[in-house]
Amino acid sequence: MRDPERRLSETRSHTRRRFLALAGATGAVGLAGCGGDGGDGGDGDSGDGGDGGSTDGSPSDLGTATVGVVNPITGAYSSLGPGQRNGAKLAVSQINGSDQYDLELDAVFEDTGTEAGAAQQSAQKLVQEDGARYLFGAISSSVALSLNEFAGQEEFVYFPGGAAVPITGSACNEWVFRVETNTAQVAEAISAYTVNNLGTNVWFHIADYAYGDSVYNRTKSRMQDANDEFTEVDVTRSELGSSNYGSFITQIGNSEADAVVLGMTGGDLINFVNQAAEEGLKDQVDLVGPTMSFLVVRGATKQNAVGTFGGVRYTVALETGDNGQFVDAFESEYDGTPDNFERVGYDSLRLIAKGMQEAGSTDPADARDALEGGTFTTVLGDVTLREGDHQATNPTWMSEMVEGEGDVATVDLLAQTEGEDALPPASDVDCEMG
Amino acid sequence: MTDPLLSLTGVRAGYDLTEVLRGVEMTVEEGSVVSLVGRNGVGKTTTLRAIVGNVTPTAGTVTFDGGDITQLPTERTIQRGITFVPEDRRVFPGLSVRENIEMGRLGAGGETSVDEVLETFENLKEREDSYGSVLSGGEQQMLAIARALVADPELLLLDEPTEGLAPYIVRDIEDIIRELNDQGITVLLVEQNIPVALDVSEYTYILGKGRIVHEGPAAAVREDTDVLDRHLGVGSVE
Amino acid sequence: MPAVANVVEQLLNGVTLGMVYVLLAAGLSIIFGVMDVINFSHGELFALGAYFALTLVDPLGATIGFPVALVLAPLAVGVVGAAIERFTVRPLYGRNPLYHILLTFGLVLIINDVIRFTWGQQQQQLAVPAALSQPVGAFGVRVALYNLFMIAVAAVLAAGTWLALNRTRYGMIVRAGSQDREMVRNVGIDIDRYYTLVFGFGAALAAVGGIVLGGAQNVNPNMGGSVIIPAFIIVVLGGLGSFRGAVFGGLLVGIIQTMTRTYLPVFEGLTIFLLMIAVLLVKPQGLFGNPEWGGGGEEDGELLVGAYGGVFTAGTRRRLGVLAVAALAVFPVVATVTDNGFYVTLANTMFVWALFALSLDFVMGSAGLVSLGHAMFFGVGAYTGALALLHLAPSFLVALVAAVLVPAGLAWVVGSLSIRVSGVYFAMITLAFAELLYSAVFKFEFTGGSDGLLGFDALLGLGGVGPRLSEIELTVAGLTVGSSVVFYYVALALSVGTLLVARRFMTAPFGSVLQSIGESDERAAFVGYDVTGYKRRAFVISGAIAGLAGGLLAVNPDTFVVSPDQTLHWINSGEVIVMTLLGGMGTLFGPMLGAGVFIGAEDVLSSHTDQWRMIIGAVFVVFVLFVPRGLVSIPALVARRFNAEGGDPPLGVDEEVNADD
Repeated sequence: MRDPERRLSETRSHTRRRFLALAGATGAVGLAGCGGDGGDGGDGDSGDGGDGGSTDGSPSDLGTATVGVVNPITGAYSSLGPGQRNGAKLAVSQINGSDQYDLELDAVFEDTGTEAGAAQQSAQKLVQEDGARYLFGAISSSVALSLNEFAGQEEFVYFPGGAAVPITGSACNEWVFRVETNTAQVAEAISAYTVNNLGTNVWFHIADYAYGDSVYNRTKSRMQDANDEFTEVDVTRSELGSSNYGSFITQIGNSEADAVVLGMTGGDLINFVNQAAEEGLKDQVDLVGPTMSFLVVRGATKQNAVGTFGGVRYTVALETGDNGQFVDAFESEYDGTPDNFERVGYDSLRLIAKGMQEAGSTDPADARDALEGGTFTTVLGDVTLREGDHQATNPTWMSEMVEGEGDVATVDLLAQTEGEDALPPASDVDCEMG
Repeated sequence: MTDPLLSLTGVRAGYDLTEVLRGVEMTVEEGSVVSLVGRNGVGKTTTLRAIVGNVTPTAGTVTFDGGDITQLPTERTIQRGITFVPEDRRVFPGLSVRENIEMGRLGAGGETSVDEVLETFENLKEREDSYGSVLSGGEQQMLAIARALVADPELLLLDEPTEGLAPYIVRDIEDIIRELNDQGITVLLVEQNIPVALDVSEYTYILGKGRIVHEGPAAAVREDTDVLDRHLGVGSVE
Repeated sequence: MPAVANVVEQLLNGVTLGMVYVLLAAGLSIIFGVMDVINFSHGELFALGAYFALTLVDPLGATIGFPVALVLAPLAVGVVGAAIERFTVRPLYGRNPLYHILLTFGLVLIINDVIRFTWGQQQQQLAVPAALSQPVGAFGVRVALYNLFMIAVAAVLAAGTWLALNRTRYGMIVRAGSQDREMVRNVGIDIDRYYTLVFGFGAALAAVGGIVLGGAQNVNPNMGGSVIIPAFIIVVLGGLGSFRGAVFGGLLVGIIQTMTRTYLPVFEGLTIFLLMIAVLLVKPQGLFGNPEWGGGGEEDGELLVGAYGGVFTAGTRRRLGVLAVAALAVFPVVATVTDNGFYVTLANTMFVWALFALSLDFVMGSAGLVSLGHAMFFGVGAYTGALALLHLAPSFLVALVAAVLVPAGLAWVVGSLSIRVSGVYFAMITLAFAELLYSAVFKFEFTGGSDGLLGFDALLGLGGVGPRLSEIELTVAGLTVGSSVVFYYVALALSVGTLLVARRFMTAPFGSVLQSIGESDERAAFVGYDVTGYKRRAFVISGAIAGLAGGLLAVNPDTFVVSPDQTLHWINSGEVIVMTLLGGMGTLFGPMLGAGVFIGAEDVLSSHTDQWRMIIGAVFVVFVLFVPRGLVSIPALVARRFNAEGGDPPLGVDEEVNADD
């Protein structure tokens, strides 16, 4: 095994659930004509056991579009997947119940695990058996990359939830749009601050896969630009899904590093921070993690997170865009506060719908054209899906975790980086759209 | 005429798809020494294993001390007073001499203590803490017998006790068998070594092709060159 | 100075990990030593301990709850272990150890699903008393106090176990049982009763390990799966059945893993498997094992092959076969017409696995070579196929040929080395090789690391000429025939063809020699056959077929990624064994049928319930216990029921009988 402690990824696990449209579904089975020609996987399935009913009064001019939602419910990111799914569900129910949209979304769900092979099968089921022409999801960048490929081949619109740059960089294609903030954007927010305020001797510890590499590359290059005295002390890698970081923590503690940048998220980050705290690393070195601020991470690291630093893609206290209504709607629908992945699920589905709305058609090719270069209102404000790489121009922040009420740390925002400033030009990320 | 201590009637047994015993009939009187001989592969060991329960007879009956033990599991048979010293001795290699004997006592032991038995076998006492695996062949044989004795058996089954042993040790074994018999233990002895078998036992059964083909007082068989030749392939016994 | 401190701290890290392994391996080793049972579910019992602890600590809080959990949870798991032994393992005594592996593999599925169902899929934190969650330092060495606590607990338990084994009556009986089980019965002790105790005790030890590690890291449903392989390695290294070996092996592996990770990261994940292979080749009984002592893998029960029991005549069988092929040929048409195209995709997956299962049966069903690492040939085949498409030529023919040749070569190397040992050791060494390859594939650029290979596409043709397989869309008789259907026929042809070729081999003298080797290596050698040569040849053919299956996976237009977990992970080796047994070993077509049924059942079940793994596990356990000869034997079983004759003589009567007298 690459790391005998690596968790077992499911090779063939799926759960399937059909999401029933809320808000006034009359129960009439609407076999509304669906756009989308060619290819296998008939769309006639939308009447299959689910109620894709029309809401009272509101005309479904454009029809119903099937959206596949794939999230990691099992595997290394199982703590993050459900949030992503809930955000998507909220958007779907809002859209289906709203007058603003002339269409309905029929969402179908699958589990990606954390492993490309399993994700591939889940996505295939959605596309071939359920007739999904739009896909959203995945958190692992490796999984997202393989789904990019799938989308390009099968020609459907895909909104990935992974953050590694290559997703809208070297592996970009015209069918992929990203609403999630990528590592380059977060790196922009944290690099300069870290190297100018926390110390110029930096150690990098990353999980050995696409996201980790992306964090390392981006952060290192931004730090080099920000401060001449930046020194990389060392870079170490662990396997995705590892549970034991003892030996790395010991090494870092015994080095001259002022700060350590952690290119990992989810369970990995949680384990690292907890173990680091137990071994006393925090007293010696500042921990900086692009995703340290995630609610799930803070919830599981509790007091151990206090005094660490993190990038922020989203936090509930933001007053940007229509975050206010999002938070209210989410909290009344679900238990608990929304965080980054809920936001990504929510805005991704919204933009999918908005794309179709603008294009006046549920055909993915039309929606794709409408989305490219378009500017839309999201929870983070007005963002543009850039023509060059289809990446949303999200703002990002640097923060410190401080004592909160209760045992979970609170995010203290230190500095904001604007959307335009956060992203390198499309040409710099090796994206060539055909 | 008292009932024999052990009797087998019409016993059939075998392994998997092969039947080895095809109806064995024999009895062992209390207090006697009986030998079971025969050519290689006729089923002598299988007979003992069938008695003890390592192999379950498919037909027939095995009676011991008035009770039917045919289908009884091995451990229960042992606890009833039969002990078994198998071919190859099979001492526990990773246990010490003392522990080996202790095992025998735990299984079916009663009044005799481990120390008492060790007194009887002096050379074992000297090596009481040695592992079973380091003992010589002869010592292992002694140990196997000692292990069987600590259980105060009524019937002792010995499977080829002299196999692979030097002649002077063979003589010791013969002496031990006689000694045990004097103390009241009934012995059923399976042997390849015909002279020893006929020498030490009172009554002999000859097994051939899964059935008893001849039986009689050992002394008589000894003189019967015809029988010796036909069933055992030996010219004479000296 | 810092360098020395670093080394000391790393050593302590290694010892900490090692001690957890000791807890796990000790139970596993004793269980094997005494009962000849390879308990695959040991990892899940480990996890169960952590989860029980979670249930106790959450309401009671860490300070009270944790110590309480440390005592109560292992007891509970011990009871679970005892129950497992009593009701599922005991009926299997005397059978080939493979059946224990299979049974306990089925238990893994069941227990794991129960855990997921009861406690959820997410990782959770097990709270430990605050007093322990801090670092302590001396002489410039810093270590988490909790680590020291882990070492202490494990050491106390290990010492206690040693005392129990060597200074008590029960321990002596257990030790004797691991050396010579039948002889223990021959001295009048019912060893079976002790088994339950031993199994339960081993389970409890594992549970302590789970609690202790869960507190250090976290509690998640995958924690069992991630420790079971290292546990096996340790047990083999130390010697099956040896307690001392488990202690030594556990510490050794823990330290090696930690030190490699720090100082030789490129070797991480490889060293322990290399070590295991080395030990198996040089001293298979392990560092502390003793060849004289029983409990080794040499005593094999029989592998129960699928026997159709003569219910159908050869003629009927042939007709059934033709019928089956005809039905398969017509199926895609029916599926496309009724708009069930997805089932063609599913069938394509079935073909891939059917070939894989066939490959395993080729060596397991005749020569009795139980391979626990067959996924390596499948995976290497898939990777070779994809690489060929990416770098050599986009032709599917080239890809398939490469996918057959490279694994065959690998099988030659691996087979030659592995054949030197037999029985359980053979199984373990194949597992080690497979894990080695699995770890290795993450480390190279050209294999795509953890992301796998993407972007390969097959042409249905040769030399760059031919339609792209994934883009084929024909219209035949008014129906749109897509790439999946075209691939279906390719796969069908290959499957049937390979089956026929394999049968050819088996009905030829080659096959009979393999059969005789399967019954007794020695006898076959005495008769004059080059046993090693035959085994190796069979292994190479098997590897080639498995590679073909992998190549098919790569060429399948529905496959757009070839990744390590999907192909090389040990669970694939386990699943293919399940399929083989399910269908009926030794029949060649049985395992293929088993593969189809397994995948079909998985698909159907997963649509209806989250707990499908548990159901498959339960069905499997039932099969192992009651229908060990597989699906193909069901007609015979049914026939026997209905033709109930009174006692037919269970044994044949031979004229010249020679027993091992």
